[in-house]
Amino acid sequence: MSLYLLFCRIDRRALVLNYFPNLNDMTDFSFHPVLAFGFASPWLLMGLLAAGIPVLIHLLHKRKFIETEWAAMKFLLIATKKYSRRVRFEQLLVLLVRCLILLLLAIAFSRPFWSVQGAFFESTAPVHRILVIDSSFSMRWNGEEQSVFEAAREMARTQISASNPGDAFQLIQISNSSPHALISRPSRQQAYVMDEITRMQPTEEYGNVGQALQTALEYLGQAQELAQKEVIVISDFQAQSWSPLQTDQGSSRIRSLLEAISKKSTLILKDIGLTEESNLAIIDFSSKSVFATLNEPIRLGVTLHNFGTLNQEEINLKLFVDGQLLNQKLVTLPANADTQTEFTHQFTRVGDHRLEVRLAEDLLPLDNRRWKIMPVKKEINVLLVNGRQSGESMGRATDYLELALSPSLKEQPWQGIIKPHVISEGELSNTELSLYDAVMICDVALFTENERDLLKSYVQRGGGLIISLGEQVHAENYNQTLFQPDAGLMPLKLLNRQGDAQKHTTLFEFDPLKYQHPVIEIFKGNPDAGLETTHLYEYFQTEILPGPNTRLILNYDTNDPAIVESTLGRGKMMLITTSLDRHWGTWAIWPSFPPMMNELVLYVATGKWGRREALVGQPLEIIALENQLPLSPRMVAPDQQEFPLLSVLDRNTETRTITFNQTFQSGIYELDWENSTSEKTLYAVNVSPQESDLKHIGPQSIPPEYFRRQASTPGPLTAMSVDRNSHAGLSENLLFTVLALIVVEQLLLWRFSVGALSFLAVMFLSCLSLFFQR
Amino acid sequence: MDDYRRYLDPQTLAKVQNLDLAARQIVEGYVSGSHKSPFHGFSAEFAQHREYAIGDDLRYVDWKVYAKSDRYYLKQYEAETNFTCYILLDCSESMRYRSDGAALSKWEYVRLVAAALAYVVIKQQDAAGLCTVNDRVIDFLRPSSQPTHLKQIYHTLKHTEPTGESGLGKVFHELAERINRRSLIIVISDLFDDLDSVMLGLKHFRHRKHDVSLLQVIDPAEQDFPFQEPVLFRGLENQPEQMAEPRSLKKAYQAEFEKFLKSVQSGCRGLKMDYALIRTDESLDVALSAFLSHRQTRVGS
Repeated sequence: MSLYLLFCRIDRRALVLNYFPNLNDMTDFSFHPVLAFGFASPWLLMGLLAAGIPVLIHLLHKRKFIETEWAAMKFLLIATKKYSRRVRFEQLLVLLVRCLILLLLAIAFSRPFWSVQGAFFESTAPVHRILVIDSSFSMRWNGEEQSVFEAAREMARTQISASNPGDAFQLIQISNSSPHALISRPSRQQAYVMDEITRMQPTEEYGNVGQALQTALEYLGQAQELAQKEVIVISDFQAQSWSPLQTDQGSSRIRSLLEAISKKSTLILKDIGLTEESNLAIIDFSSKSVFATLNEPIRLGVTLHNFGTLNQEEINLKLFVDGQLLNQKLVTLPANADTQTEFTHQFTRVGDHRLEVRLAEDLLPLDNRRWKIMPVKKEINVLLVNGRQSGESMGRATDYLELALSPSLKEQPWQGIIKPHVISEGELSNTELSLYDAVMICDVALFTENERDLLKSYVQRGGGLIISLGEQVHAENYNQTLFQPDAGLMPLKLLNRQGDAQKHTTLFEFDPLKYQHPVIEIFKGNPDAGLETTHLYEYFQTEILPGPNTRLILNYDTNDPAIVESTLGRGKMMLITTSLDRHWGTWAIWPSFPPMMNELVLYVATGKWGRREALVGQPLEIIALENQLPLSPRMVAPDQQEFPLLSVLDRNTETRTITFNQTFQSGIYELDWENSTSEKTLYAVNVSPQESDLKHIGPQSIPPEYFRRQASTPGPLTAMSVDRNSHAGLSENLLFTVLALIVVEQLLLWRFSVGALSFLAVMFLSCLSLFFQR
Repeated sequence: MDDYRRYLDPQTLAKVQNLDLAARQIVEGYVSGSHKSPFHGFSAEFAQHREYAIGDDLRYVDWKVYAKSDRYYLKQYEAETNFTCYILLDCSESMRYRSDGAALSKWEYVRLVAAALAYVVIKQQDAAGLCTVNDRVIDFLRPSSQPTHLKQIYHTLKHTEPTGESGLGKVFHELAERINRRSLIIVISDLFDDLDSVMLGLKHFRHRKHDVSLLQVIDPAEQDFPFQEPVLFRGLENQPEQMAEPRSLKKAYQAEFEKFLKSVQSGCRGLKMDYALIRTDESLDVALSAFLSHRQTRVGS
C-alpha cells in the first residue's frame, strides 16, 4: 500500500521524496523519483529504542547518591562553579556517543537503502535479480528470424549484460517436470549465468507457471544482504499456461503469486508472445481397445484441432506403422474446432507395434505428430473355474461360457483369439494364474482365504477376474472372504437371492444404463443382440459399498446391480450377480451371451499390459514379472540416450515396479530387458495438447499494469542526465561508524580533549563516505 | 607493629578513652621510638652568652664563637626555664568531620595532639595553657606548670564539642592583645576559614613577638576526595549543600584544595612561622616530630 503526499510517496518500506511530474505530457502522470530511501528490514528499527538505554542509565545513575557531611565545602563549591559547565559538556558528549552507537547499530541492522537519480549521484549498489524464462513447448514457435524461445534467451542475455558488477542472479524455467531451478543460489558471476542461459533449451512440456512463480517467491528470501530485488518473467504468456482452465483456482493462484512477488520486489513481465497466430495440432490418437488381435482390423481414432481463425482445407494426415507409411488422407479442418477421423488397420504380426500419425509441418511442428503403441496378441488365455461338476452335457457351470468364448465344431475348430481352459475349483490353488490373461469363476461354493489371497495377488499384478454366482454360492462365505472389507477383492456384500429359478415366479430383464460402459456399447442401437430381452429368474441382490473404484456396468430392471466393475492394483474385476448357465435364466442361450462374454473377457484382460502412453513429463510405470527380476533392464529414449532401470517393491500391490521419470521428449521409448528371449516393450510419449493453443492471455488473467511498457516520453531529469535509478546500501558504512565510535568513547573517558577531536574526525569522515556512497 | 608505634597509631588511640593515658602513651611512644627527648628546654629567643664552666651541657656551646675566639661560650635563652606555651585549639564545627578512612575525627585527633603537647610542656616544668576557639574564645586556661593544671587541660579537652563557625582571625587579634608575655603559641586547626583574616591574626601574634607554630590538621578525604558515586555534600558551619559527580569534579577540587594548602604554607613562611600539615590517618609521632624537630632546629640555630 502506498500513500501519496505532495511530491512524495510513502511505501510500506520506503520513503520516496521529490517527485517531479512529467512536464512534457500532463495527461501522463508518470513520476520520477529523485531520492528515495527506506529500510529492507524496517521492523529492526525497534532497536532505536535501545538508544534510550544510556539516557535511562544516566538518569537512574543520577538518582542514586549517597549523603555525607563535608567540612571543605568552600573548595567544593569553587570547583563546582568553575568546572561544572565543562563537566556537563563532557558528560553530554559521552552520552551522545553512547546513544549514537546504539542508534546507528539499530539503523544498520534494519538495512537502509536509498536511491538517487542523476549522474552526480550515480550509485552501483547491487541488485538481486531472478530471471524466469518460459521454456514450455509453445516457445518453440518459429518466428521469421528465430524461435520465440531464442528471442527470450536473447532478452535474458541482454539483461545480464546490462547489469552492474555485484548484481546477483538466479535462473528459473517455466516447465512442468523438468527441474525449475537452473541457478538456485544467487550468483554474481555473469559468465556463469550467461553460460546457463545459453545452454537452456525449450522443453516439450506444458508450462507450469504457478510452480515457477512459487519458486521465484521463495528465492526472494535469499540474498538478504541485497535490499533491491527484481523478478523478470520472459514468456509468450500463452493463455493455457497462464490462465489454466482446469479450475478457476489455477488462475487466481497465479494472480496471487504475482501480487506476492510484486510486494517483495519489482516485478517485470516481458511479453514476447505472438498474437493472432494459428496452429494445427493432433490432440488425440487412440483406439477403443488396448491391444489388437492378429489379423483382426482395428480402428484408430485421430482428433485434430485447428487453433486458428481460418479453415484449413485438404491437410494431409499420414499413418505410419512401425516406421512405414501405410495410410494417408486429406482432411479439412474448420477454424477453432476439433475434427475426428480414423484409420483402420490389420496387424499381421504378434508383438508391440509403433503407430504414428503425422500432419504437415507448420511453425510449431512438435504437436503435428502423435504416437501410439499397439500390442498385438495372438490369443487371450482365459481360465474358467468350474464350481459345479456334472455328468450331464452342458451341466457344468462353465460349459456355456466355454462354448461362448470358443465355439468349436468338429469340422471347424475355433480360430478365435480367446482360448478358455477349464479347471475345477479344487485345482485353483495349484494353478499358476499368471499364465492367464483372465480368470472366470463360475458358481464356486466356497473360497478359502488362501484362494482369496491368490486371486487378489493375481488381480493386483494386472490380471482380469470375473466372478459369476449361482446355486452353489454361499453368500456368507463370499462376504467373509472375497468381499471382506479391507482384505477382500471388491467392496460388495451379497444379500438375499431375488426370484425363484425353480418356479419362475418372477422374470427379470437387464437395464443397460444407457449403454455408457464401453463393454456394452456394442449393444447400443442393436436390439437384435437381445441384451434387453434377456430373461433371468434369479440373482443375488448385492449391496455396493462406497468406493472410488467401483462402477456399474449393467443393472436389472429392479435397479439391482447385474454386473459390477472394480479395480484393484493394476487389474480389473467384475461380479456377475447371476449364473452363466441355464439354471437361473436363459441368458446362456440368448444371443447377447457370447458377445457379452467376449467383451467382458477382453475388457478385464487389458490390465496386464499397463499404460503404454503418457504425456511428456509423466512417469512410465512398468511391472516387473518374477522371471524378469534378475535382469538389468534399460530404457532407450527417442534420441537413443540410454537409462539403466531399477525395480522397487510396491507394498500396496506387492509387485516390483519400475518407474521411469525421464520422459522429457516425445516419441517412442524402448524398454530393453537385455534378454534374448524377450522382445522390447514399447511406450509412446506425446506432448500435452494444452500448449498447442497459442492464444494470448487477457487482462482478466493478469492486470496490464504488471507489464512494463517502454517509456514514451523522457522525463525532465532524463533529458539532462543519464537516468540511473540505483540504490545504495548503507549498512556497512554505519557499522564502521559504530566501531569507530566505540573507540571514541574510550578515548573520551581517558582524555577528553583527544576523544573530542577523534569524535569530530569520525563524524566528518562518516558523512563524507555517505556522500560518496556507491 | 612495634610496641611504641602502637601507642601512636590513631586506630589504637581511638580506643583509649582517657586523655591522660593517651597523652602519656603518645609521649612515651615517641620517646621509645628513638626520637630525641622532648623534655629538653627550648626557648623562644636567644638572650646572651656566658662563659663555659665545667659540667655545662655541651649542646649549648656556641661553636661559632669558639671558631672565632677559640674560647668556649654557652648560649642562654630568654625564659629558659620559664617557658610558656599556649595551645590554641580550633573547635569549630568543621573539626567534627571524620571520613570513613579515618579512625579519628579532626577534633579527636587535635585533642590528642594538644593533650600530648601539654603533657610534654608541663612534664618539663614549663607552663602550658589552653584556649579553645571557634569564632570566639570558648575556654581559656591560663598557663601553669603545675601537674594539676594538666588535669584541667584534659578536662576541658574532654568536655569541649566542636560547634559553631570559624572566625579565627578575629579571635587571634583578641588573644594577641590578651597574651602579654612572650610565649609559644601553638595553633591547631584545619584553617577552613577566611585565610587572609587568619593570616592577619597570626601576624598580630608575630608582631607581639610571640613564637607561633601552626599545625594544620585535615582529614584524608578532604585531600584525596575519594568519592566515586554521586554524593550530596552537606556543608558544615552553615555552608550550603551540593550534589556533585565526584569522579568528574575530583581534579578540580583537588586543585583548589592544594592551592589553599600552598597559600597557608607560603603565608606561614612569610610570617616565619612553623607550619606542619597533619592528616588524621597519620600516626601521632609524625605530628609531634613534625613540630618538635622544627623546634629543635630553631633552638640549635
